[in-house]
Amino acid sequence: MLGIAQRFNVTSTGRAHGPTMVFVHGFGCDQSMWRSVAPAFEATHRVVLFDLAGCGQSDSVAYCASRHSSLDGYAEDLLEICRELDLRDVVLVGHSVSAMIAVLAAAAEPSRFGKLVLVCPSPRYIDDGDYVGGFTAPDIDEILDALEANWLGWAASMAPVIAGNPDRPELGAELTAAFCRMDPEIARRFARVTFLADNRQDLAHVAVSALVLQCADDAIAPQAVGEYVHRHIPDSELVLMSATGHCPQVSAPAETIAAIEAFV
Amino acid sequence: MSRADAESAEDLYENAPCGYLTTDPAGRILRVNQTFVRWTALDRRDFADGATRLQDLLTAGGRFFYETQCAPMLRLQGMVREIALDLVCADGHRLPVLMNAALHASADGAGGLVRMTLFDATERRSYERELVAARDAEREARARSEELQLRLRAMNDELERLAHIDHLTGVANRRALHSQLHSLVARSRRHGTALGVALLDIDHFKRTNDTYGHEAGDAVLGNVAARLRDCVRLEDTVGRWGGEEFLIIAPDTTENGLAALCERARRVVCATPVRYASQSIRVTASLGWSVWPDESVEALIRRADDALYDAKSRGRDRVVAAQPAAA
Repeated sequence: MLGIAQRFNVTSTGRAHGPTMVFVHGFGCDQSMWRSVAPAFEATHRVVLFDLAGCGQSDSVAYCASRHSSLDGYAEDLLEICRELDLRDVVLVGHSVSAMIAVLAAAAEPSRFGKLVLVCPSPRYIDDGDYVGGFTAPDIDEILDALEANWLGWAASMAPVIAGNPDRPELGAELTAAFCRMDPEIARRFARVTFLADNRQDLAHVAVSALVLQCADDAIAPQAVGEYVHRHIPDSELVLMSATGHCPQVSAPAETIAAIEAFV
Repeated sequence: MSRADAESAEDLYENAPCGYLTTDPAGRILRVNQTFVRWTALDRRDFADGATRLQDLLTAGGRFFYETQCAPMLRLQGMVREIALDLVCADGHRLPVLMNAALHASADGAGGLVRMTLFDATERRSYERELVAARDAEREARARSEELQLRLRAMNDELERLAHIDHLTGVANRRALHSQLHSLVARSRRHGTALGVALLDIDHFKRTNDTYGHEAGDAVLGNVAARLRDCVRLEDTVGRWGGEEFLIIAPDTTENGLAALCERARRVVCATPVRYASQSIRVTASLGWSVWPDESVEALIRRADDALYDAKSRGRDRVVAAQPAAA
């Protein structure tokens, strides 16, 4: 039986005995999404990162179609990691779909978590009556098509990419594992789980204080959705960022770090 | 190079057989070439001053993929390759493209430029779709074939099972009993293990049929079979040997054990009457039993049958042991 650390490619940096921050990446990526943000907390916190099942370099045994047919399965994985590392009073930072995974984990074991940071969250992507999720059902089909069209291409380019990092030239050319390398079947399943999820009811069960980071002009998690999340989590704060798009931890790391720092 | 061949860099850029695009890291389009303008059938002025973002020209799927994959990857890795997107043109027509893009960071670290090349991938996209469809069809066909194999095997098993069951009573039929006997005899010959058989015949069965009707007779047969099956051990076999005749095969049994088993069977048959259509039918049975060794399966059965005949002549409703086998 593979250890948890290997199963989910868990990395732990920062202060061995500090307050803990756990970062959870969103759909179609891996923990490297936090590359520009997580290190900022290493001086003050124990920083834990991992790859979701089926993503990045998590082991293939970690993914199970039935367990991961709902976000609860992913939340269970997260809780397992926390148990194994005996993490307490965790500041849990979740991006995109993993913001909901964080919500579910916190609702299941509230004693383990001190605070939540929800980056571009959405409890439901598909519109429903008065609820604006931002997508229609045909949109979702289109998205799944777009993913298909790209992921059959990824199979060929799954070889490691030698990339110079333009932001950090001191790193030189490094052999990075192909970013967002995902088994096409897993990608399809995860996308479906993400888009068919409805976690609106779970927001009310968040018993810790939460920070909602909302980007300007986010086509995936529009402002109305961020406001909805804020309204339905009893103890929450909403911060409207000037960063645009859906990945402020990458496109505007300084602003993201500042917002989180102010909260924790 | 002659004058006629001379071509400016600008020419090269504007009229290349691919689309060239420059955006800022947030996707705002800063520069396009003529080929791109022609493809999208938009007005060049739409691209002035970053008024249009690449995302605005994509489908919902493309927008999603761009925001969650391309944009972050460009910042983290500096480039993306062979991204499949669909451009939505001015007339609503969708143009499938393949995009390569590279981020050129600015000197001060803020912002930067993203340079993109787009290739018309209409042919390739439809070809890919056909490949995917063919692969999916093949997978489905294989899955269906496996499923059919499984069902076939299950049906064969069921057929096999039915061929060995007496349909009225649900116990083994004569063919199954023969088969069981022959293999147990072979085992006894090899390992010297004990084996016994008992023939049970329902007393006055013809009379029962005449008195109560054939349906009642069938009910009696079924009932007796069930009682026998319940009173034998797990390793024993109960089967229908003939019209109103049952055979019990008892491996690994001593003579005393078999005698006791037969007496138990006799008692269980007559213990309570068989109820059928508010009738109460008294049933008794005669039994004859024999043990291996003998010359053959047939000889073994014949001895049990002789003993059964004995039981009938002595008054029925009793158990009689067979004469020992000829030495």
